[in-house]
Amino acid sequence: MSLFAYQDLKTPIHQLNALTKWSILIVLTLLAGFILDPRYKIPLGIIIIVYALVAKLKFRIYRGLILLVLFSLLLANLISVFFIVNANMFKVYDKVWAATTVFQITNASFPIFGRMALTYGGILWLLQGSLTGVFVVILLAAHIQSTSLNETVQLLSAIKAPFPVIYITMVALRFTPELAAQFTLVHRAQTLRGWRVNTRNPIKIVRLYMPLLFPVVRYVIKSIDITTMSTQNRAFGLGPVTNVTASKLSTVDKALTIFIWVVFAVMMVLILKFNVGNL
Amino acid sequence: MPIEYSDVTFTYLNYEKPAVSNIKLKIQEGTLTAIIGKLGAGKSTLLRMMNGLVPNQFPGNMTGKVLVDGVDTQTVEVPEIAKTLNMVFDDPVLQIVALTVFDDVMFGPANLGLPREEILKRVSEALATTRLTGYESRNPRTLSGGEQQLLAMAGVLAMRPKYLVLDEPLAMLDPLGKKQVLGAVRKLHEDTGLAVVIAESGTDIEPLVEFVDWAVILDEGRIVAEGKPKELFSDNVMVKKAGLRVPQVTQLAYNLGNSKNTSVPVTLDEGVDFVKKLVASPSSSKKEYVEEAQPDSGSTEKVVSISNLWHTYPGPPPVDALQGINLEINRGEMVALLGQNGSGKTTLSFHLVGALKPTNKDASVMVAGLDVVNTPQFDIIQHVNYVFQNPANQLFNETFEKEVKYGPERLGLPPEEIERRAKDSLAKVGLGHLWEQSTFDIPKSLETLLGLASVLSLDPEVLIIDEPTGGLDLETGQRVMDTLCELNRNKKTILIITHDMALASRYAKRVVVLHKGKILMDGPTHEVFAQPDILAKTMLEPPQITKLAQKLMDVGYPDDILTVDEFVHFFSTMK
Repeated sequence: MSLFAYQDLKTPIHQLNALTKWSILIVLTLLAGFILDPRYKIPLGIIIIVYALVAKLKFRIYRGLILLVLFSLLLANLISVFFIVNANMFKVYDKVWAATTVFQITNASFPIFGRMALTYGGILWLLQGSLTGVFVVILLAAHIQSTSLNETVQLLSAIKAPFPVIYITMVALRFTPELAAQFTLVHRAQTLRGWRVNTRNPIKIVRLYMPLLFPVVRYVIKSIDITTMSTQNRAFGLGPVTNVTASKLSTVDKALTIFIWVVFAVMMVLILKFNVGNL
Repeated sequence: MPIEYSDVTFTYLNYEKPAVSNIKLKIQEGTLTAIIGKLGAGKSTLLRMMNGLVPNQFPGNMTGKVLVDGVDTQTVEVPEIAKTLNMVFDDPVLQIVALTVFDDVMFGPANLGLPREEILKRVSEALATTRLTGYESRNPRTLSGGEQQLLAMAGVLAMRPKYLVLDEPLAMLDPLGKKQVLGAVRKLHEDTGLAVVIAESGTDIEPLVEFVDWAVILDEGRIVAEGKPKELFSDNVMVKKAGLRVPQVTQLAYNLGNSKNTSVPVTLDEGVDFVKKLVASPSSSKKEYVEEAQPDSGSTEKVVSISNLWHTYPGPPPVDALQGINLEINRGEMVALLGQNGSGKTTLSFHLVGALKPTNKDASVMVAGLDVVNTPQFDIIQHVNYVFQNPANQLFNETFEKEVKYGPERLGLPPEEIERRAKDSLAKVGLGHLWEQSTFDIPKSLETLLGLASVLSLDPEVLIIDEPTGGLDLETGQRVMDTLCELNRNKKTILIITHDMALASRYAKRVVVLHKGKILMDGPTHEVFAQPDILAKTMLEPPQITKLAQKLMDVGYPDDILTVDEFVHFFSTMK
């Protein structure tokens, strides 16, 4: 089983109309981005995890990727977090508590940013930023696992999306799992020629990965080339596409789609007007 | 109305030499036509002109016209031509666009905007024709190579084209898989009058000539001959000049002294008739038997020793790719590893190089005295190594020199040793003169030879090579096999993974046949190929020359002849 690949299962999520599933993906992703306060973000995460479990997502195979995303975001956010020392940045939490220094990096004051320290507010910021990435990965995986490529193409065609948008979506969905498999193959081939990571220097590591990246990039170019040819050869782009598998919006779909957008609207009002979910 | 090329010449953008020149050709409705030519002869360009990919997708300078049912392919978009003519490319994986079999087959008809009921009917029929009914909800990645090729075909058949164009459709299939694909196409041709055009570079010439009724031979972008296959292959000189492989029964006729313009057999049945007629005319054979270059190891030192090897891929559902493999190979042997797509050949080979680890605890994999299961892979690679079927997975440096030096440099060898190994390995594959050549945009033949050289520079004792001549022209394929024979004479152990039965029978003294993760047969090549019924279980069959001998057992031929030269030898002794 590959990462980010559609699985033909009969779960309640799979049965939903593509419009409903895309609505859920968009709304939950936006909320994961707008909600900063871990007290709100964690319940949102639980909803996302339940959604993924209902879609029968195999968390076991995503474990490595989730950890990678988590640590990458922790590292990436670490530097900016050290500048979150200004009490006025916090609208909900107690300003004094949020700006309390846990660990002083330097006493020097930088222009615009001020001093550099790890504060309680900074820790909250770090936590929410990293959780956002993890939740989006889970949400995306659950969505791709439960929404077939044809459903998406037919939905985009039905809403009269421009042809390049349909094409790019299709290629991205089709080749994400393919790329993972190709990367494994190239990794195997280069390891057999003596390739290995024997340094902790990040610049050297990037250079070491070149032997793996070139063949993969070549494969991507070739794949897109052949896919373009074969889709055109199968009349892709000729005109309106017949909607074969995507069922009409059922009552559940209609209710759920309306509900999710209403929730989104309410949450946006709460976030923007009443600072709900802010730090 | 036919497909018609009127004096067409095409040169790709930024190239000086035309890919095809002065093409004048008519392909009639309802015919079965082969376009035959070695790699780079211009076959794919010729085919891609039919649906307008050239020049619409691949820009360049084109003169002349290609008309499909009276429509100039330069004046309409590719999807418009797809209403009449559809093409299946050589790599099925990349043209399967959806993530279930059903979704993929209905992709084309849905794009045509047909009514839902009509689409469902067509999908059902296309799946039935390609014998994929019941596979609707399967992920295409879980299908065998043959099934994927059939799926790619089902995807275009559901569009009900008038013309079906197939670019090397058999290249990745096992022998009976090839028959399965051609059988499905023939049925459609007979049922619906579908016209079929197939491009072929030579490896699968035997099933192809039994299939088509017209052939066009291309060489260096020009049509050098066209006619019925039997007539074309009778011109021994032209065929040799175009660098084409011929069916083994045709080669037999050549070797038995058939001169130019004498009718030669091209199918197995014609081969039987041909030999029987010759037996009745004693003066025909003048050739002497020549020993094939198959080195005999003579060594009893075990260089590979595998015991109770299991490998299970996690599901869902879990797949037992290897089920208790026990295998020993002596130093200096050249062994062919055979089996249908998905039989476990690649999984087994990856275990030999330490790229996979057993999923059972009591497995043992010893190669060149190393316990592969418990040795870091880096320490294994100079003892046993693997040449991938697709060399593009291995190449990334700017020049040939850097490419062959990469492995020895990683091993930390002294500079003079790196230089020596790099030069030796390039010389071994005949590319010594291309030391400074760029690796950018090189033809498949050079890519394959360079891929082999880049592994040879590690100087492994055991070399595993996946489809060594796959997709190559006759000359390059011969060069690869000459290199392997030379290595084998120097006591290197060679394990060849292949679907090419003629290749296995010519070069390997021993074959191991895998079936569903188990060793089905293991023994001398002539003994294994003498059991066609057991081979058929795993979608394999003996090479054509062996089948010919087996059909002639009633007149005294043995059932285990492996090569054309062996056949000639027996023919001579029978006179």
